[in-house]
Amino acid sequence: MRHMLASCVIGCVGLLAPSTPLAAQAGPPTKVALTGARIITVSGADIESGTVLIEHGIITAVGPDIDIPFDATEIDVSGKVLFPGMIDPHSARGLDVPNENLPVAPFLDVYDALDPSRLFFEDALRDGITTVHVIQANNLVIGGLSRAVRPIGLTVDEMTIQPRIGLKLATTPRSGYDRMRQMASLREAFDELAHYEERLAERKYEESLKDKPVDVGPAEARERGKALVKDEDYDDRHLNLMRLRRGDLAAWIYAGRATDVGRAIALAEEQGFLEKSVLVLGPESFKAVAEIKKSGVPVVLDENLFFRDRDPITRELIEVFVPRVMHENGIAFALQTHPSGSMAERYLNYQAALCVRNGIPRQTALESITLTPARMLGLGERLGSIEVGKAGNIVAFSGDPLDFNSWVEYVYIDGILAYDRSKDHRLQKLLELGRANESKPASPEEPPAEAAPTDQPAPESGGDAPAESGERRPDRPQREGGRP
Amino acid sequence: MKHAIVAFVFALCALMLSPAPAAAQGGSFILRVGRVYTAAPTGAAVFEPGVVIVRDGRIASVGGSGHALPPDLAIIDMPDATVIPGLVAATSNLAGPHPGEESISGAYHAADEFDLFADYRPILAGGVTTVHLSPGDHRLLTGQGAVVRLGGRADARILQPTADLTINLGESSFNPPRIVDLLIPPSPDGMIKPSRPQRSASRLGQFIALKEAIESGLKSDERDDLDVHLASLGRAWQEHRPIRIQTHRAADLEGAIEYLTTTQRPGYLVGGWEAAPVVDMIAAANIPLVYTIDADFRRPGSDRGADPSTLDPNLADLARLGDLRLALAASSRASLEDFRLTAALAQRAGMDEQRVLAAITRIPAELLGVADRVGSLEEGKDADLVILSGRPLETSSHVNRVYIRGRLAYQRPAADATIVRAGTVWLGPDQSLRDGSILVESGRITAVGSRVPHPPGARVIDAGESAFVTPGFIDALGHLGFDGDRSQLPAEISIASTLGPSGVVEHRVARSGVTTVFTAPYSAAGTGSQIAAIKTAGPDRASRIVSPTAGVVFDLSGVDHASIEGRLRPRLEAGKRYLDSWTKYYKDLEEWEKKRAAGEATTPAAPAPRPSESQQEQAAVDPITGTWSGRVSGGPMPQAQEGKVVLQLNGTAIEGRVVEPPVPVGHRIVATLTGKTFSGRIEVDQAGFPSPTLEGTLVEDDRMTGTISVMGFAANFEARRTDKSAVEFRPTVRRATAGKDGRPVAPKIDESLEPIRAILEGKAPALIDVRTPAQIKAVLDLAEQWKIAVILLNATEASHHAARLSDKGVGVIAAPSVLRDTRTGPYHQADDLSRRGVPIAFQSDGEDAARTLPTVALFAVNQGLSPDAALAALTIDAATMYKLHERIGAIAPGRDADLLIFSGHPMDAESTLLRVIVGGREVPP
Repeated sequence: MRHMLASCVIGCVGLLAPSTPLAAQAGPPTKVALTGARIITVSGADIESGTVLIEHGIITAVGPDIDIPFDATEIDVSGKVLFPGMIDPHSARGLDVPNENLPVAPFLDVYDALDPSRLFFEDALRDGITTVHVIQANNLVIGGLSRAVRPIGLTVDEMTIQPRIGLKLATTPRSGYDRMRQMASLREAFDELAHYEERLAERKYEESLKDKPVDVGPAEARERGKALVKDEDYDDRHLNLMRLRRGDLAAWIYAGRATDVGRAIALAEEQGFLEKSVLVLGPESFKAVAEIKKSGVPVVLDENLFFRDRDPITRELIEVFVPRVMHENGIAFALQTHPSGSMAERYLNYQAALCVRNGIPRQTALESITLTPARMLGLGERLGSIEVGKAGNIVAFSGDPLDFNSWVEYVYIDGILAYDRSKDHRLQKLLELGRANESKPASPEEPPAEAAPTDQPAPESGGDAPAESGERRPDRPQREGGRP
Repeated sequence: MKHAIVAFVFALCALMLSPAPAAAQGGSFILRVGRVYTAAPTGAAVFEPGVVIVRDGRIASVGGSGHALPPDLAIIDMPDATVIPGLVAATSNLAGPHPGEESISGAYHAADEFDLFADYRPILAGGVTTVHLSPGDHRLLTGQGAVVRLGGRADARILQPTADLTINLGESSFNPPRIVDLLIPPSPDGMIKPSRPQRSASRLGQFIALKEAIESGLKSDERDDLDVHLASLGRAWQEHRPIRIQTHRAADLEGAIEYLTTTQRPGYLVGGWEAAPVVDMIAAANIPLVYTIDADFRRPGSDRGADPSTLDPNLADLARLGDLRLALAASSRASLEDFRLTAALAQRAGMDEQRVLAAITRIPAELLGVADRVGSLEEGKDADLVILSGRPLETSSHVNRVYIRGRLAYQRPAADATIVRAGTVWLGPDQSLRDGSILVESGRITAVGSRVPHPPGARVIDAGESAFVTPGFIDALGHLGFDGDRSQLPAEISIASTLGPSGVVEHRVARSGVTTVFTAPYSAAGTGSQIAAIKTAGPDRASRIVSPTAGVVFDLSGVDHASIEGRLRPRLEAGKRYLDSWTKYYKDLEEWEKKRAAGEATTPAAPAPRPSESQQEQAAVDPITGTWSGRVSGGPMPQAQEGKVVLQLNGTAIEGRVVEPPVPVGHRIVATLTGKTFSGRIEVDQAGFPSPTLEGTLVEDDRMTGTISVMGFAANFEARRTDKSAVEFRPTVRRATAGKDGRPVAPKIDESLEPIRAILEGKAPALIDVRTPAQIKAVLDLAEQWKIAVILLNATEASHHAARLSDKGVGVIAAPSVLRDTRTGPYHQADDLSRRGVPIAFQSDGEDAARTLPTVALFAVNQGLSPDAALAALTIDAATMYKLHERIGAIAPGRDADLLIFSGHPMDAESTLLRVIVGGREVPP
């Protein structure tokens, strides 16, 4: 906590410095041509056999017949399927803790808590994710600034794609709160901001008079002083909230239950940032689909794509596939991964495949892990598809990305080969271990887990596990009879 | 067949006439019910029967039976239901207490805690539709309450987002936690302040604390730092939010009254367990009180202990609050699902039904500021309606439906149970139950008494004080279902197998009160004809059959008395042999099973010679053998039926099977060929199934036409031979004296002797139409000799043997006409026999003529028969004669629920038949 606050200032300075594009500073080739592969562009039609040319980290040509410059490194990826690098739209797993104790803390920045050495990033790369939106988890009232990062780099600055994307808010109560206190805290923060701005304007007007006596009443002074207030006059507690209200920052609002959705939209509308809002939903939130549709806000769906409940009278099981509800109502949705690393849901392409299996058109499902989250992050011009002008973030699958037999073979980030399965020693060890276990049943003297420490993603448990335990799950449906 | 189609059309019409549920979903409809409780402050309190007209989710009007009904709306008819306004719970545990530390805050809104999408049907099932949400009772001023609705669209659920400022006086809010103000972000300029204490710790302090906080809140604009808790309190105070003061202690109630009077704020008190001592003060200040009833039904309560200062609510105190403006609520521990029952307890303190109902609907709605929308059934208010099975405060009443803004928000799953209540329930001659109830479950009577169980969801038919319930009437001999067919039917034909759902004719009979008809052919065959006991209403065959073989009728009226024995004995003897073969079989089987159980080796019987049904290959092509495809049409067939049969000619004998459509039972075609024509029948190995007869002609090579007839119906068939190759039949019936493992083999079922067997076993009576005393004597002698039950049909001269009949309990089905002219004047057979102790029954000797049976009985009473004897003749006596008294003819547990509800004694001329229930189902008018 203190470390985070102390480095806040340094962090802010760091933010101002333009982040150096990886491609420019690295030694690897500046021009890369990936040839002979099937290309799923997402933004346009698939190309059965074509070439992607990446120059200085940016895609400069895509198509079946491309003139490859003489100085470009030609890499034959025939037989592979090229897919845009996938985007994890909402993850706190790059952070050392997902949430602070402080319920209202808009002055924080994930910059201070991002740990480039976390195995999560390595896993992300292995799974074909090239952009992670690192944002605080849901257990808060108002959180700090988020940023989009690549899963590669030795420092946060090196990783950063886009700093200061948005603030995290929640209308679903944080732990120890109920909805009354959660909403009171949210209202308090914005009322307090308005109060602060009035006092600030009044003070600025009085200061502008120099030594002259104040000639107007406080209300008039506040009105006149408004124009005199500059961004740097704001203190840390209010600066980011002001930016949010002004539209400089996006609001990522967690509404874990249907009843929280309307309150999130009302708050965003009242404070004027509805246009720049994204709703992060829980499994039950789809019931408020009418409100979501009316607001036009895009949503990030819960990693559990099915909503299951029992009818209180008949005890019949109710099952709803949430993406379908969103799709049928024309709501833009992005998928996120399951925070516990052992589930199939940790793979974005699995989540998309699940959508296709349950009746979502393939194109919509593919967009929900690429273009849609890119647009939500305000990076729709830079990421999310294989087209000219976008970053050279490309995943080469061994087969169709929605086929679960396909492996991620290569990952290119800004045209640099960031992952090569043939050189993924951890994965190979893991697979060897699996094979060894298959052929030789585990004996009690030699539990297979003992061989694991260096090879399995298990070490993550030391880093990410507390983060997971701090992750708040949407509260259970209340008993109808109320609390005992 | 014909009437089955008519019945279908009729059922379809009935479906179209009944209100479609979809129409009720639209938020506009007419509700026609038994009772409407308006809970309105003016005008009629109860309409009985009543009408509620709902248009676009609002109440358009409420009225009594003469109310004009708009023609454009669907009518929902529930003649037994009671409608009340949705209940308003002025307390609830759906929100709060909030976890904030502040002792006084206006920032906590209970409305925020409400789940707009939750499914509150379990609470709606208790009748509560509107609920107050409290921010809590743990702080001095906890925040702002809200009023919400528990169903309907999410955006319309909150009725009043900021309904009140909730103040709690007394111990519950004393000593709030200290508040820590953190300096965030921390800086060297700021000091870490010690935690700050909060008021209040005593009764004295609470009002000072409130006063200070409100003043501070009103001036929060002038302060540099914003305290949202006080600022929002200030705003709410300026907006004159009503003050809700929750407290029980007399001292705090006094303080509350003082506070409301001095601040001149609108408000009300909640709690009031110690209100009785200060009732005059409350009344003088004209402040309403929400009295919370302490009742928890679902588990035993908590101990109170010996501390004299412990609050000890006593419901009797409520009687001392008589003149206050009183609303009732449940204490916070109780479940909202039981709110109606909780309020009903107030009747123990002497509050009447109307006052209690107002105290849980209109008055709380007024206090909560939502009386313009809910709380009573008045024009313009939201159609939040609760439909109950009985009176609103009755313990055994249940909520069956709830409408919110005219839309169905809850419907209890229908239970297959009906309760009939009436002033008199007729149990038998000189035996009736005053204020009785009958519980009907799954078509049977399961309980009879002055108080029967009320399963939730049961339909309650409260017929009223003067109503008179009797068992359904029985026509002891009629011809219902024969549709004018006067052909003789032999004994083997079971009438019951030709039944379908009840149709127009049956409906006419049922609506007259005759629920069971013993139906037999118009003219009985010499060997006797079967009688079936059938219901006059029912959706299918299974529900309509009481007994497929209720008896056998013999017409011996024209037989000389000396020949009677000669006519009956051969049948009885054949029947006896048949019965003996079965008795032996059962005995053998029992022994065999005993042996097998004992593990004894059972000797396999020598293989019996099987009747070989396979045919030798016939080299020559004959005119019959092969596969025939054809169609049956005309007659009773609603449409032509295609089919395929295979036939085999052996000499002049034809044998065959039906191949298409597949026949699920064993059968064979047996016919004889004579020249170009053949005749025969289809034998079916199925009890009670008649064997259709065939007559046909070979019109040309490989083509035949003819007729197939069954039970007086005839249809044409024509067929072509499609294949001439012979087909070998696998024998369908193998008869042997013993099976492989020595198991005895059952005798062959003889359909014509089955009814005789039933008579000999004493399961069914023989009905014998005889007239003269000599004939009657011959029949009685025979019955005694064979030890069989007989019923005398017509028996115009039975009075000669009345003593013997009465002694032996032999019943007489009286001749159709009540009076018969004799030399000595009109003779009243039913009256005469009844007085002399002979059981009698009435017969219609017609089809839907059965509908006039109650009128005939009325005339019999008019001519001297005792009314109870007439009722017994129509019910229990007829059933007992046929040995079906365990199923029909009485109101007792286990009997079929065939009930008639009359406005008075059925044998009073002015009594009308109000309702008919057959097999637990009401027969619609």
